[in-house]
This record gives sequence, structure tokens and C-alpha cells, in this order.
Amino acid sequence: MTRESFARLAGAAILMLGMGLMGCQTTQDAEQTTQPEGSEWREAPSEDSMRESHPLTDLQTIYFDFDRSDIRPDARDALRANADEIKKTTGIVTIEGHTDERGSSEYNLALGERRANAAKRYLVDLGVGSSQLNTVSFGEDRPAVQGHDESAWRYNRRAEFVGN
Amino acid sequence: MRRTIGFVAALLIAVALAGEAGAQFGGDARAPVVVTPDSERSYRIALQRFADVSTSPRASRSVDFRAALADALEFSSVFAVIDEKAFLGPEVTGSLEGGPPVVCSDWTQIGADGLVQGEVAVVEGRLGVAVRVWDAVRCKDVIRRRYSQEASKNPAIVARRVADDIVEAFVGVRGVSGTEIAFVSDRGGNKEIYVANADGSDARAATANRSINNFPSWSSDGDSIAYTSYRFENRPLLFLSSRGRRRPGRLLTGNDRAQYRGVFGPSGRTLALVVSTGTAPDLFLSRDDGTNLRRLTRTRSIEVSPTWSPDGERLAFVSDRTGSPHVYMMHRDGSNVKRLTFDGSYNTSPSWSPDGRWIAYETRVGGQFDIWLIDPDGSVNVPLITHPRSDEGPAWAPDSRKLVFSSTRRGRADLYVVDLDGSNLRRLTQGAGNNTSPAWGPYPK
Repeated sequence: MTRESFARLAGAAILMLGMGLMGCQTTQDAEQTTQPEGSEWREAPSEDSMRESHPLTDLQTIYFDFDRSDIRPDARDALRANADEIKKTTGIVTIEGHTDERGSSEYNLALGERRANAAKRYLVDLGVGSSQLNTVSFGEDRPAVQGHDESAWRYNRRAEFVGN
Repeated sequence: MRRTIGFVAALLIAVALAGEAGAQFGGDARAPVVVTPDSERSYRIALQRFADVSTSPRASRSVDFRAALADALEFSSVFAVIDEKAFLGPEVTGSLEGGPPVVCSDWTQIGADGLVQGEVAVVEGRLGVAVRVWDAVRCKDVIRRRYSQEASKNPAIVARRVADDIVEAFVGVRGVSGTEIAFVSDRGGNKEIYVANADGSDARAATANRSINNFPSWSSDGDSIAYTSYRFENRPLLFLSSRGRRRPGRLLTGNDRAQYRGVFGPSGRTLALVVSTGTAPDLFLSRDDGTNLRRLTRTRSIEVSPTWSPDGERLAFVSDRTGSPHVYMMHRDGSNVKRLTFDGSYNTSPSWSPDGRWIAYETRVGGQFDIWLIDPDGSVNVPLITHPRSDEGPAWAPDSRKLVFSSTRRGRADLYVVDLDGSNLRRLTQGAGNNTSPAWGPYPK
């Protein structure tokens, strides 16, 4: 067994253990909330993410045009560099898709997903294993730059690569 | 004093015996009006201060109740409340029954179409309110009804119920001042779900998990709100908040894809869902507890923002299958997909009116967003809100006469209520953070 595949197996084992723990937590929470009464709004208890994020290395962010999810020519170098970095490791990278604040926030969630997927496809085409890549969309809810004009929007329509 | 309390009680019994007496009177009232653009309020109404028949009366009780009732009637857009300084008749109700008869000409002379009389009393920890409403023109009472609630509660709550019944008696459709609006606000630093009264008052948090929470959707019984939250694993999943019998917590626990939105159907037993399928979100149905997932669309394009027809048979939704987002409709089993909007290049956020007549949606015009109305045939398509800043996310009141939406016209996003004809614009939030994604709750039970 190579060193790399051992590390992969160990990573998978840790991940499964984590998921198992979370499964227990969910069950417990469900049991705690029996027989609701009264008129106060209630929600399930908060659950913190099991993992903290640590940057894999300096992965570069790429940017998109309004209501588009195709990879712009000026993003290709960044994606190639990111692919090279990711291929050096066995770490998992989460690709976060983001949009600017304009338009329907629900549609923007979908657009953010599509941007993350477009970036993932490009990395896979460059030889990155798809098992190393997760995607998540934050739509317009995590802007990189505050502001209400194109000077902010151009930096918010983006995909970020977060190593775990 | 005892004698007057007896009248309140007698009125309660009379109303109870008559069943929904007010509704019967309402059926006899004038035909529903259509408020046309720039019209004045349809009716002018005089509110007497209610006689406080408690054993320890307080002047402020009557004054405060009149003010709350006036606010709720003004909110309806149906009534203009006449200043009591203009009254020819008594400013305070003498007695609801057995007292001197109402002189209708005192009220018609000052232009009143209606007169509201009443008594209030706090007895054994409960606030009792007896109301008699007159059609001043026909000189005939249209409502005789008694209300009560715990005395510790805000009297405005019962005042709004009274106002909504008065609206129903005059226009045939119940008023909505007693309903609630759920929305998203980042006023506390994170996007959380809040619930406020329809006039924006008394906003309180329904979530407090300090992640991103979005897209509240009411169950038809008003007991539960489905919403999207990143509280778990920092990815979007569907949750339920409840103040009734449904159990709060995660929905769709068996599905690991990104879950973007759940929208309760009119029966309250079905959810329309927006769930990722790996490429882009598609639409699904499930039971209201998130089980029995059924897929409705199978495309590589984006499908989001389902909104139910009032009979629960059809859904309008957004798809970008042509390359840009437009509004479509389909049967609830996914068949008979039909494109509804053709103008412009960005039409999103459809909301089907409870009476079925209109689908409100947002459309991109230049760099901003306006709200338009289109009928389900696609034959009538008219602007509702046009403004140089963005107006987005329309949602209907249960009476189909008002909508709530969010607008950046004052900088940060605030919620506004407007009538179907674009009149009576009213701001609900007061600059506390950004306030978006409103959902108007059902009539209270």
C-alpha cells in the first residue's frame, strides 16, 4: 500500500467517524423536541460544523460575468494553478460558488451552485480526482466585497477554493 | 355598572346563538369593491370611543383601543377614519343596547358610511369587547359581536380582529391586519427568520442559530414555517420551525444534496421543494414532514422558486432552460410545462395570488428590478411597482388585495406593503439591517 493511498483510507475513516457522530447527534436532537406546546417559535438546537477549515495552500479565486457560469478565459490560469496544487495533496477542497447581490436570492443560490460545478468540471478535466472536490453555493449571502455597484459585484461573482 | 356588563354578556350569548351572526350581516352588506388607481378610500368610518364598563374603568383603555382599531382599519386601505372632532353625534358609546337610538343622520351628515360603537371591560383577567357596527347610509347594523382575550395581552390584537371583521362586512373579504409576515433580516448580524404583524409591528425572531437562514414558507394552518439554513455542516438544508404540532427540525433527512427551498402547498400536507441533483436544482414534491420525495423536473438547467396555484393543482416556477430565467407553469405531477413570461431576460420570484388571478414576479429592467403581474394565461402582463431602485420578492396577502415585497429604495432592503393597484405603499421595517424574502402568513384560526 502506498503512502498516499493509506492517507486516503485514513482520511475516509475519519470522515465516516465524523458522519457517524453527527448522525447520533441528529437523533438525540429529534428526541429532545417532543410534545411542543405554546406559541413561541422553536427550532432545532444548533449544531456546529464538525470540521474546521484549513487552507490547503493559496488557491486562487476565479470570477464570472453576471448571470453566467461559464469559465472566463482570464480564469483558466488560476484554475490550472489550483489543479496543480490540489493534485500534490490528498486533501479535500470545497469549491464555494457565489453571486453578486442582484436579483432573486433563490436563483442566485442555483447560479452559485452552477459556478461551483463549472469550476469543479474544469479541475476534473485537468486531472484532479472528483472525490477531492466538494461544492457548495452561498448565492449572494457571502460577498467578498461590500458595496452596491459593479466595483463590488465583479469581485463577488466568484468561485472560491477552500482546502480542508 | 353591573347592568351594562350584563349587556356585554347578553350580546355574547346572542352572537353565540346566532352562530356566525356577523358573517350573515356581512353577506347582506355592499358588494365587494374594486379599488381603482388613485381612488380615495372606499369608505369613511366613524369610530366612537368604546364605553369602559369595567368595575374600575380607565380612560386610557378606551382611547388606546380606539387608536389601535383606527390603525388596523387604516391598514386595510378600505376605510378612512373620520376625526372625532368632526362628530355631530356622541364621541363615546353611551350604551350598545337599550340606550338612545343611533341618529344615523348625525353620521351621514359628516360623510360617514359606517359607525363603530362598542364597550370594553376587563373582567376576571379577560378583556371583553362588544362591538356594533352600523351601515350609516341604510341605518342598519351589520355587525354585533363580542370578542375576548387575556387581559395581559396587547389590546391591539383584538382590535385587529375587530377591524378585519369590519372590512369583511363592508367589502366581502376579510381584512388582513391580524395576519403575520415572516421574513429574513440580518439586523442581528446574521440572516435569521423573523415574524412580525402585517403592519410590521412586534417583529420577533423565529430562528437564532447564527448561520444563514432564508426563504420562509408558511404552512396553511399558520403553525409552521419551512426555511433553508446553513446551520448544519455549513451547507443549505431544509428545516421546520413550529409553534404547533409539527416537530421542529430537519426536513428531507434522507437527502444529502443541497436543499434550497421548501414551499407548503395550500392543503398544508405537501411541500414543493428545490433540491440540487448534482448539476443544478430541480423541483420535487414531498409530504409536509419531508418524506415521500417525488421528482417533478429532469433538466440540466436551473429550476427554482415554485409557487402553488390556490387549488394545489399547478405550480409556477423559474427555469433558465432557454439560457435566461423565465417564469413557467406545470401540473403538480410535472406534466404540461408551459412558458409564461417572454419579455425581458430575467424574470424570477413568482408568487401566485390566493384567488388565482395573478402571478406577481420580479423582472430586470436595465440594472434594477421591478415587480409585475401576469395572469395565468399570460394574456395580461402589467407593472405593479416600478422604481429607480430595486423591488423584489413579492408575496401575497391571504386576501389577494395586498402584496409585500422588499425594496432598496432607501438604501438597505426594507419591506413594503402595497395594494394590488399600486396604491397605499407602506414601509414595514425601519432600517434595521436588510429585510428580504417576505412570506405573508394565512388568516389566523
